[in-house]
Amino acid sequence: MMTEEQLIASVKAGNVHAYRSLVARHQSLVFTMVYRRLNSREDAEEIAQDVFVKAYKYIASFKGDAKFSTWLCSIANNSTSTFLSKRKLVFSELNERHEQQEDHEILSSPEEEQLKLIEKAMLKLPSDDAQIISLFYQGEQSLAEIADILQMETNAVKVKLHRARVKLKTTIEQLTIQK
Amino acid sequence: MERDEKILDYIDGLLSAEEAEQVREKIATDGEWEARYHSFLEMNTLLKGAELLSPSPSFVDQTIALLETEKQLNNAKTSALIKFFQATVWLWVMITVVVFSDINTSVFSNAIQQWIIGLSSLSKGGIHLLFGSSAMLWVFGVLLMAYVAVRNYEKDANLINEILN
Repeated sequence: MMTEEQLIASVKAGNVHAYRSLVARHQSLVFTMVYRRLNSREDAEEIAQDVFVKAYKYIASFKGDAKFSTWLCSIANNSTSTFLSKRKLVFSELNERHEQQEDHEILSSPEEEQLKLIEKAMLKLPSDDAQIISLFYQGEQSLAEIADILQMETNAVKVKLHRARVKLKTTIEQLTIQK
Repeated sequence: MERDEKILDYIDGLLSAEEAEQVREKIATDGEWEARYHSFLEMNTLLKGAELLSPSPSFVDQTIALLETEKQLNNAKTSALIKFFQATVWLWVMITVVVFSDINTSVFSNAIQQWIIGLSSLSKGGIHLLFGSSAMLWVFGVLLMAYVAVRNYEKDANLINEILN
């Protein structure tokens, strides 16, 4: 099994098969990040594919001074912003985002129910809050890396993440009460 | 809000030893702090356990196919432009030979000229017109290629800007 550095070097040499492995490794991260902002599977897949095509085209510009996943997320963030500005859609805070349930098998254990609740609450958050939470937890990006991706100051990311988590907690509590 | 920020910073390990100790004491002595702490800790644990969302199973195949299609399209575009340019260059070179052969009164040049006139029923004026038209066509081809190159350069520059900034 090749390391990520070896795969990237191989892609830079023109090996498309090596790039397939990179796409497979990072598809979920890129898709999740885009989906959190668009809340549409179809659009998120389209943009995510575009991100990987761009990344392949400009792989030579990746110098390895940051994680490959961070670089991909930067492209994803910019591509999503461009897509949104072209479509001139404005997502208002909570009401216009509709829930899209994933096709899960029936979840029965308490832990799985909790995870389902988290996902439901995430869908109710503003898109950029949901995105920053996904980047921090599932994407395992540090505050500094998220700052690079979102082109913000690290301190601003920290404050934004805190506020997003507080909102998420409040939303979870509301959903629990409703149940 | 400040309480929540302190608790979250404590959970994230971002506090100094002194600040962490202060938060620990608050959690131990204040019921509200304790409740918020456990609540955030539980949410934190759940979030860490949550998985990334997955695209469709064919996503990787579709992406690679899209990549290869784009490469082929780019190659085809370049190939068509090059062929157009080559065709107009050859046509122009051919006509140039004829025109120069008009100035050059050697037997060979005159023979070529007469052969073309005979083949095409064109007069000398017609041949000169053909030369002028093909020269303009060739200049147009060069300008078209330059325009496409500049457009591609700008597109690439914008994309690089988008990726790196």
